[in-house]
Amino acid sequence: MSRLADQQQALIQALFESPPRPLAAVDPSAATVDRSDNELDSAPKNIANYLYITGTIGLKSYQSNGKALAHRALSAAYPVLAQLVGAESFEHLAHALWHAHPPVRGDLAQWGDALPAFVAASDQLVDVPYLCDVAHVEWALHHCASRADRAALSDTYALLTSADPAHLRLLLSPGCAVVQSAWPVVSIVTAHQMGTLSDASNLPDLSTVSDKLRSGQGESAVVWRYHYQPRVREARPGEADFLLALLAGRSLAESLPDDSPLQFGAWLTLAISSGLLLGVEMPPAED
Amino acid sequence: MCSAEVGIGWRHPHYRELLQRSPALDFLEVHTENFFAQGGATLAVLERGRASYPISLHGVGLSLGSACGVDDWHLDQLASLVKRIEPVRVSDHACFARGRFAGQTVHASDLLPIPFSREALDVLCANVQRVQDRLQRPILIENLSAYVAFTPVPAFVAPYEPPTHEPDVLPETDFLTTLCRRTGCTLLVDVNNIYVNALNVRNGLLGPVANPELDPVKQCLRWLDEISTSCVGELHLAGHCHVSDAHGDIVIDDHGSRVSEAVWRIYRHAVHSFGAVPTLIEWDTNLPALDVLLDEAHLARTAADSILGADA
Repeated sequence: MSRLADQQQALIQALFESPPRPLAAVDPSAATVDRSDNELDSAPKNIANYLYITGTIGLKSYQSNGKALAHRALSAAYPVLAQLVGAESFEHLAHALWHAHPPVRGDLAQWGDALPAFVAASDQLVDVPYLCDVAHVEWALHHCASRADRAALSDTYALLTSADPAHLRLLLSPGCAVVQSAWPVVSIVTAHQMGTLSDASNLPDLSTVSDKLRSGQGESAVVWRYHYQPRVREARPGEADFLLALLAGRSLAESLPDDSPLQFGAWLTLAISSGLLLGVEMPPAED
Repeated sequence: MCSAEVGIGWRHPHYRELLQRSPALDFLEVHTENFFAQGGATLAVLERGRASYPISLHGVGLSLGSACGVDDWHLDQLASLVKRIEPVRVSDHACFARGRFAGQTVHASDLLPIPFSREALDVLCANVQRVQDRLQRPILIENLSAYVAFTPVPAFVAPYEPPTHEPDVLPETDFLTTLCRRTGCTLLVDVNNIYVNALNVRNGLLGPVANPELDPVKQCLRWLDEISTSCVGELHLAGHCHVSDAHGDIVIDDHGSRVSEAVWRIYRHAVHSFGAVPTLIEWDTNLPALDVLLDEAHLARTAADSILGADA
């Protein structure tokens, strides 16, 4: 490695290493050991070999800024999870994720997708098993908000009556996703979002959510975007499998087997009016 | 008399109000990475702003000083946004954020300082050139406020090449002007950053010892005088704060208050030196009412016009 790469790795390591090494308590002999191993880019670099030692407060300011950014970024993506675990625990969670799974992109909105698995693996959160699935729903909503816009193609619905369903594909809303869960994740998320993600007149209250949790009632979440607004609702019977098949690129006929419990006519009306379905297309036949 | 363009940083809490009021501003600056979405509400707001104002895209994540180079993904997003928005200027910082950690390349999401070494200059020039080649336009590079400084020589015996006849570390102003000469980029001189650095040098934060005798304003004026006038394409103005704790004293470029009197004085010198270059009021934390930003912009316009008028 070049000296510049070494300098930069040392500073990066000082920011992400947990617990951080005290800057002023460096054993010079340890530095020699580090240097002998410098071909391994994972080898620790002692930052005190590269910075003026007076920079302790400066280094701490960068470390503090990183933690603040982590908390802010995850609070934006996971507002319900933050409410469920409490402010202090969520801040610890954000800091832990920052060190365990640092950002790899220069856009913090891209960071945080590892949180659901991180929550699932957390010993401290093992007693709250639905948090992982709640996090999955929230990440799907976060992701959905920034997908490329797609205009509705209303004049394409005539294909549903004129073309073979085996050749039709349905155009779903940007960021459409399905999260299947053994927990009432839709009820949990919508009850805590107070109407920003779904019809406010149809929100479950927290006692209803508690009842569903106690009875082990699972829900599959449908996530999509209505204009610019991310939305979530519980999937209708048969809808989760149907949407997952469509999202996998299957045709209408392949996605809707004869034994599907989905009532397609009623679904179609709802999907068009809510912006979940934007049109129908008939790709060119393959040779 | 040539009048300087003045703009403000357009941040989320002011999106709607600014669109409704359409105040008299010469441009709006946004943080590039906040608009990397492929679609959605935020990008739609930026396009509405673009319909009324020239937009300056100011990046905080290109990591132009990284030895491991610029992230292809980041450059793709930037190129796409530039094509979509057609900004009046594209800028980022003389800093790094990408580096190796635990076997992968990570991004620190911060503006980390680079040493002003010849190696760092070569890396920065190569990365800036790559971005300019991709965007097919020159970009602006902002001088950094730093809270740590790299030592100029290894603190231990290291297997590096011995110093050549030229000193390895350059003065920051030489470093930046050489960057401009070699790449064709221009400088976005952040006046507050120069002042913050001078205060932290006085505190001993960016060198081996404190220098309580140092006059930070004079230091900044000298810094500006060492920059070639043809290199400067924009000026930034912002507030800073002083923090003290058990670890010492530090001045932070937090963009969270009005421009200080000292920075206004340095700004007037900058306008006198560099002429009618665009000026931006940056405010990112403790964001006040939009009217406060507009008042700061008015102050900048008044200060610049008085200097430019007197110089005419």
